[in-house]
Amino acid sequence: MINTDRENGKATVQPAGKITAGNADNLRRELLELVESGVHTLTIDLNNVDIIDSKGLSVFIVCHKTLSEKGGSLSVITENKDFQQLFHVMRLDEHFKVSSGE
Amino acid sequence: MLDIEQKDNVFKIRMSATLENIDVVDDTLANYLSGWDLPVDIFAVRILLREALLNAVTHGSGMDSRKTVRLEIRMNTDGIDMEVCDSGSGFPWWNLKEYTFNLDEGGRGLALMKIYSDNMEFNETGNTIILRKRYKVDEPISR
Repeated sequence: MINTDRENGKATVQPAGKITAGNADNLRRELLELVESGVHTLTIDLNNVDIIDSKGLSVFIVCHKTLSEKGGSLSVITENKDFQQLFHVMRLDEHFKVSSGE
Repeated sequence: MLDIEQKDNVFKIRMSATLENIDVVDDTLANYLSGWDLPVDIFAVRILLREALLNAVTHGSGMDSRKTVRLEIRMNTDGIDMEVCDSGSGFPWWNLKEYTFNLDEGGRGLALMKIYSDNMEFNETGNTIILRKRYKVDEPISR
């Protein structure tokens, strides 16, 4: 399930459950559709997400690249320390903002 | 097909090579590990299992659900050993290059397994991966 709240080119998306090989393609399609429809500041809130794998990480990378090409930006919100570490060890937090949202 | 057999400290799993089975195996083992209160980084173990199974299903089995992936997990006294075997012809693991963290680069799954495991090995042909995650040394092993 994905909740989307959008206003003035900004959108916050809250996926739930897993962001893994089984559903990463669907999530990527939905996020890129948002970007195509004019969203330039995209926030992905991971507080309802249970697990992310390498295919899931590729969704964030594609979104970041697509938004960057359009002058926009991606940010990720997660209170989950494991996810924060995951983005950090893969050095993705050097490319887009990853925060606890506080 | 998905057979999960547990005896004492060993799990033996045989599964058809599907992405859905990866989710079921991960959920089952995550619940089990949480309940058993082992001093291990459960997130790391889940990442290792998922990435090893994902490679076995996608690369080793070509997403062919008629093929079988085998997984053995052994809870030892000092850590967890995982072995994932597929029926493919393997890959030249000896040619693996260091992951460079370039956004255009593939191999993120192998990089994750290297980062989150304490040891990663392959059999000669490369259709079996053996991963080890040690228990946290600063915490007593309760079981």
